[in-house]
Amino acid sequence: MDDLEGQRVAVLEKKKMLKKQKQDEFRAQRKLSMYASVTNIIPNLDDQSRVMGYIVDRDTKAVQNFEIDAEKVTAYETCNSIWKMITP
Amino acid sequence: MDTKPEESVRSKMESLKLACDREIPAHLQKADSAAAALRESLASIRARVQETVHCQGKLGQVKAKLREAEEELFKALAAKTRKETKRMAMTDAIAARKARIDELRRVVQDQRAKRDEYGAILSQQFSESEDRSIKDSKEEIEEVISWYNKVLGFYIEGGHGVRFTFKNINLKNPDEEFCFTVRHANDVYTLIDCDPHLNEIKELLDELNRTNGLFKFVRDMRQRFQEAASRGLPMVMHQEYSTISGSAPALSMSTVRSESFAKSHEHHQVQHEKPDRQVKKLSPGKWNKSQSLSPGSALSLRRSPRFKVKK
Repeated sequence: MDDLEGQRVAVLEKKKMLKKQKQDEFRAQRKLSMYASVTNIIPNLDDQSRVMGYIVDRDTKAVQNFEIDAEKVTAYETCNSIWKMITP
Repeated sequence: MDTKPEESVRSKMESLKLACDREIPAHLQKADSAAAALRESLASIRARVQETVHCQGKLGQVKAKLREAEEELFKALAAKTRKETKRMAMTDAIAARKARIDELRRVVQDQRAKRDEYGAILSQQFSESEDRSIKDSKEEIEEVISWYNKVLGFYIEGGHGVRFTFKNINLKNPDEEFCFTVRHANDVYTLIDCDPHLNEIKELLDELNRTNGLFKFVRDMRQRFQEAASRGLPMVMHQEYSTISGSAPALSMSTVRSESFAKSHEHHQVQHEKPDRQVKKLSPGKWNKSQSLSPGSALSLRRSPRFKVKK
């Protein structure tokens, strides 16, 4: 009976933890959505040596790929060239 | 004639006397033996009497002991009766307890069966895979957010309004932070904070409240920061911000500032020495409807590994 009670408590704690994890996950998803919506960019993380991604035009529903060799340009230039692409 | 009968009587008397004289010693002897027997008998009786008296004394003692024994017997009987009653009561109680134990055993068996059943259900519900998937999902999201932070020098922090921070604005100091905070309440966007202050952003704010285009507003603000930085960031006085009504965007901004953001708000600035640009625009393709950048679609993107987009 003690074991059952212990299990019940453990389950409740786990449930609470899962709820919190889901809330955190939901919050992170909302934040990610805000990043993507402001920048219109979906990054492509397949190749860490290159800066790659997709610029999405929601009005025309068109997607444009971009790829920058991170070893040949500075982070400042990479950053601003991408911002230029999304801020015509 | 008269002398003859007298003589005959006398002779008879004489003979009788002789006979009596002969019998007297026998009788005397009998009387002596009888007296002796009587004396013996009396002595025997006396001894018996004494013995009887002695026995009577013993009998009194024995009777007293018997009474004591009887009293003890009564006490013992009473105790035995009490104990018997108690034993019967205990027997009943034991029987009741045994019945209760049997009942409890059945309950325990039922409970164990239920526990095993529930345990199986719970282990299915709260499997490690669910934990893992949530963690993986969160890690993936954090990885992508980190990409925005590192590559675009762009940070978002929720709290009393939403704070947008930019880096890589000032060529001379790429790590310098430019930020502003927008709050949306009662259908009105308010610029709570702008560091450094910018001139002529009232129009932008008016447009924001008119069009509800927060995302464009953020991009425009970065451009204004960049223009101001290229001009040498003139300091301006406090300005009033527009409070024209507008409907809320998809993402509410009255959220509480996330603590986790502070952790993720790390400096991921990567400096490269080679100055020549290698920006290459690739051919545009059609964007799938399900991959739009609304909050809902961001979730579906999350599920695909590395946020790959179908070409």
